[in-house]
Amino acid sequence: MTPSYRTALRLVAVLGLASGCSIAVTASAQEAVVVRGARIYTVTHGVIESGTLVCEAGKITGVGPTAQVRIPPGAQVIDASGKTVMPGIVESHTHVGMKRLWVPADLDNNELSGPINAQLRGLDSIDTRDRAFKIALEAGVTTMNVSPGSQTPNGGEAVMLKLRGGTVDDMYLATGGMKFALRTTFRERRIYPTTHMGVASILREKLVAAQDYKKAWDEYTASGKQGPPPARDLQLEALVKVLTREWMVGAHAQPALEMLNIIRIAKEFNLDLFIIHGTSLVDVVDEVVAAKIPISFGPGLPGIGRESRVLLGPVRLVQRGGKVAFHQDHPDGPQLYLRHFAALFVAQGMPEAEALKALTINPAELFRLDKRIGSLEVGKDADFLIMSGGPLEIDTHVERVFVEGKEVYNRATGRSVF
Amino acid sequence: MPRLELRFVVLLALVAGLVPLGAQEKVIALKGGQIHTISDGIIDNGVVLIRGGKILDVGRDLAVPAGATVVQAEGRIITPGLIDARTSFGVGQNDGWESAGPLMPQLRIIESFSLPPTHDWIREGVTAVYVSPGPENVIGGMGAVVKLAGRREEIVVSDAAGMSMSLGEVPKASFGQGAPRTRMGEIGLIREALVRAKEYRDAAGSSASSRTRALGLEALGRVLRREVPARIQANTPDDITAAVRLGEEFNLRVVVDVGMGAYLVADRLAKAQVPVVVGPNMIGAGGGGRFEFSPQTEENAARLHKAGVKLAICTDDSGGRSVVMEAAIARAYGLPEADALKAITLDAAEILGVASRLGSLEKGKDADLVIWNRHPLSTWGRAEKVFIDGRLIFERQEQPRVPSY
Repeated sequence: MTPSYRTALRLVAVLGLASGCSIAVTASAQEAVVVRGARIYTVTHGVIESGTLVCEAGKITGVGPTAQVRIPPGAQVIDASGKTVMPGIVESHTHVGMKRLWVPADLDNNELSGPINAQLRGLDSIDTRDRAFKIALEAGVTTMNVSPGSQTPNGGEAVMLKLRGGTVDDMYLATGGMKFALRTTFRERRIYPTTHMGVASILREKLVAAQDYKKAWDEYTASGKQGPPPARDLQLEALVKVLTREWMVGAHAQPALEMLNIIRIAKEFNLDLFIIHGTSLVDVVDEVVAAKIPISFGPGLPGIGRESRVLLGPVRLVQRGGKVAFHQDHPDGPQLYLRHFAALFVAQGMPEAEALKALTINPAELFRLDKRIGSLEVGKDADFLIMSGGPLEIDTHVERVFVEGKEVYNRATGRSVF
Repeated sequence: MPRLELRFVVLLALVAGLVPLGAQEKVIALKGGQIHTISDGIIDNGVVLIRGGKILDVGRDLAVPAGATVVQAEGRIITPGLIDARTSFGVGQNDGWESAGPLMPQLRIIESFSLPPTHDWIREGVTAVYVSPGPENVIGGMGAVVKLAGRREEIVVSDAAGMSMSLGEVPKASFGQGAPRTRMGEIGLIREALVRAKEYRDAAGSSASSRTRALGLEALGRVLRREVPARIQANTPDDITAAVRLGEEFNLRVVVDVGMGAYLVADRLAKAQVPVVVGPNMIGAGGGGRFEFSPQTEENAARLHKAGVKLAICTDDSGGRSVVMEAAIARAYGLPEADALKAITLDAAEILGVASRLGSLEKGKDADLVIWNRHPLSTWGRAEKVFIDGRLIFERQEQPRVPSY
């Protein structure tokens, strides 16, 4: 047998001994992973009191009450009786890797040299040495949207990462959409734009320029590519993707003014918009419902506390049929507390099933990844958590995290891909 | 006056003292709840009697006096009002420290304090907090213990509950090119100040009338006499042991504040009997955060407790963070539940030097208490009624929601 296979077997033996009565799983692609006897939150098909989950080749191939699920021969079986299983959490807005923990200067999150940075890609600023990647696994996050910051009206392209470990290229899943921010952070610098109307205007100006750019290229293509092509402009190219809805747009907006501004702009340019933060949602629920804009709500604990009135915004939005996802906005809100944040809404009246959707399938939908992630269904990626108790309880711990059928974090052994 | 008449007058005075004339103060009776006294165990289905802003009695089968206001607490949990052992509550931005120089022992935070008209912390069941001078001054002046609501003249429980000191990254970033620029500089400033305070105290015996007063040295004298602890903000294991060393050199009572890395030197702290006011876990590190916080772990409180270190828990905040959630998280990471509750009640009161009045449900203590829908450290625990000095300060209007699963 090859040295690497021998090493793999030793790893199985060591992990098997270390993890007690449950059998550890190695990185072998052939073996099926089975989690048996847990309380399973599928998110889209209710709660299975005593269920079994089967994963093969990185996908879910079976989920249901234990008696009804076929276990493939040769499968590694994890006894999860007394435990809870839920889909890996999708963190809809974070700066993990871009604003590193305990590093003195925030250098890489915002390209402050100018207000419009559409051509920039957040993934080029991600440093995977950030300790927060491991914390994300402890939090039960398996997919995250890492975004440029909000210090410029247009920060750049966000990225969706699967927490498989390795480099950004190893973790790349999909685009995270274009980042806009409606706040007036250039005010002290006295560079246009310094006012809310200036910020709204510069976004419109650039989107109009993108329309012209697209027109020029469409005409060139339609004419059979006669003569020299128009000059390429990476900034406008990126904004064209926003115009055509190839990319969604996440816009930072906190006061009602900012939320209404971007809703108006999205309508004018037919953008696939979701609002990031939406702190004043409680005051503009009607407008948000009418415009059918989903909200990625936060930043979470501790900025928004247990007794904060703004918690009612998402509660009312969901009551009215709107869509909300939750985020911590790490590091402003520490990544570990995303589940705890979701619990605050349940205490204010949101059904727990809706709060769990806001951690899983709703953010998956924001980024058009709901065919792959966000719930435990046959055919989806085998991204799931084994937890010690109810998903929203403070006393619950995330014990094991699996991404595409491979264990990436184990609390008991301390093993982590980060 | 003849002796017989004198005795009569004395007897009358004694009787008058025992039976106060004038209106009897109204009694409030909390009935039927599970009472967590903190000092003396849990009483199921108990009674708390309040009168004149104080706890009149606590027990199982107490008689409720006629005319008392009865507050039903069946199925509820009653605890003392919670205490946050280090905050910047009620102090405006940049009002908690003096930028003119690193040594300001003469300051008293109560003079920068203004009670907010209302605050979310009351809704969280917090009734008293320690207000600290900021971490910028190496010696920042006296911190105070205040109640979160009440009449202006009554809310200050102690205006000198601790002398603020600070080590680590913040002081050396706060005074431009002046001292301190290094950690050794910070310690040097503190040692010199304490030596000056010692000389000042020793000179007090001789020719006092010709001496000018130095308020700062007087304040430090109280620390030297162990009347007031030094509350030393320190986070790295070395800053923390430096704080312990200062205490040993000058025979001070020392409390380590925030102490993110305290668990790494737990045995040293236990041996020196230095308590820790454990800092919050929910630290936002928006601008990269303070590197000295990097040892941060949710297990800090549990590990300190295991080593025998006395601890309280704090938010080190003016709002936003919740000391209740912090205690619940400490419990989730291994601090036993009763000790987690003690860290935000009686142990906090003892560290703050106000345990004669606050921190437990005992006869004679202030009637600061909270009625909860379930255990305060439970995910779904919420304060339903909050009393400060026997007055109902907060009553939750809507039923706290508890999920159905």
